[in-house]
Amino acid sequence: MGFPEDFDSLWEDVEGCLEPLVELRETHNAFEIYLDLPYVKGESIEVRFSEDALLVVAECSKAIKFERWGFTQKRTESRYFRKVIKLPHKIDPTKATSHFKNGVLKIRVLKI
Amino acid sequence: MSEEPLQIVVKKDLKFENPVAIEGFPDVGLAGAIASMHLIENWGLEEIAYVETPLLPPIMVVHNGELLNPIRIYGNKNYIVLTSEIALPLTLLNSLTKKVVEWLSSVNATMLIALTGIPVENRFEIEKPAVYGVVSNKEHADLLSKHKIEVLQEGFISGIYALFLKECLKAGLPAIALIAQSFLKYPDPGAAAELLTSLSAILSVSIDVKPLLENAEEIRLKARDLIKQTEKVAPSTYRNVEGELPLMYR
Repeated sequence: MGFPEDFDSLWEDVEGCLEPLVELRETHNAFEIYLDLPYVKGESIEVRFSEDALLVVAECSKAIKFERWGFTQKRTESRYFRKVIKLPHKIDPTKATSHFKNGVLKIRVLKI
Repeated sequence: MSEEPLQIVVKKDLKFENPVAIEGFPDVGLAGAIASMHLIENWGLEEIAYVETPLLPPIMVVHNGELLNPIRIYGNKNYIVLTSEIALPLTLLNSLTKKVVEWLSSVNATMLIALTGIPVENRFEIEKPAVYGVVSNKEHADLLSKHKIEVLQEGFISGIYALFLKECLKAGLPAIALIAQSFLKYPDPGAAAELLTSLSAILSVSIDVKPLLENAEEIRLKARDLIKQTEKVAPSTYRNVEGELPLMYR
């Protein structure tokens, strides 16, 4: 699967997807990635890994549409969060762990 | 209108009765901003003034079809709440805090309470964020301790709330900062709720945080752009100093 480039606006409509807020932390042997995923339930999250990146797709429990909002948001109905996170180091996906709590996903993956 | 670079423009003249001022400008986790906006709604406050300055980017806000200035002041005769819907550039903070404190002194405010967050690495693991306090005078330290709010004894503070405390100290206006453990990069309604719970205890006034927590997901979604803006114009690196210890011990 190709991982497309990130985009700046959080409201760009890419196939009904929103970009989540992401925080990347690095330790000497691992990366910890945190994603803020409101309206998502844990079982609807999918994470895929490549040798130096991960793709997170999470389905929202309801369609997100703000009809009274600005010109962009009004036209969009989003059902997913989607994000490609590129890492500055190769990783071992077989050692990845994840926890989802209070709408925040934490993924920990070891460097190779 | 005078030539000053920043002014408070009063829209409604209220007969204040020794009001308490509460500021919740966008900062770490938007904890203060979320809390202040909830207060405005929960208490049914009306807009009484706004900040006018050419130092802001060319932005206006539209709510219910009405044009509003981005930095607004709400209030009733007992409370004044200050908030902003845009991130505040660092270059604005000195003049903003100075002018606001001057205005609060002119309306005989009795105290300013600043609401903000402090980023903690393990916020993901924390169910109930703790709230800490910084006071401009020792008398309020007792008030916070009485409500089991730990008062900072040694350290640095930084951010708009630090400037507010500084200006209040200069003006002789008592000030308290309430600081909740929060996420750095995400809107944190949980931290905002804890700030409001502490505020409610200090002021002995009712603040219903249930609607805030029930709407947490919507708030997190709507506040995403603001937290990204806030990070861009006021990078969190300047808050790193709060983890350091000052050299002097007395």
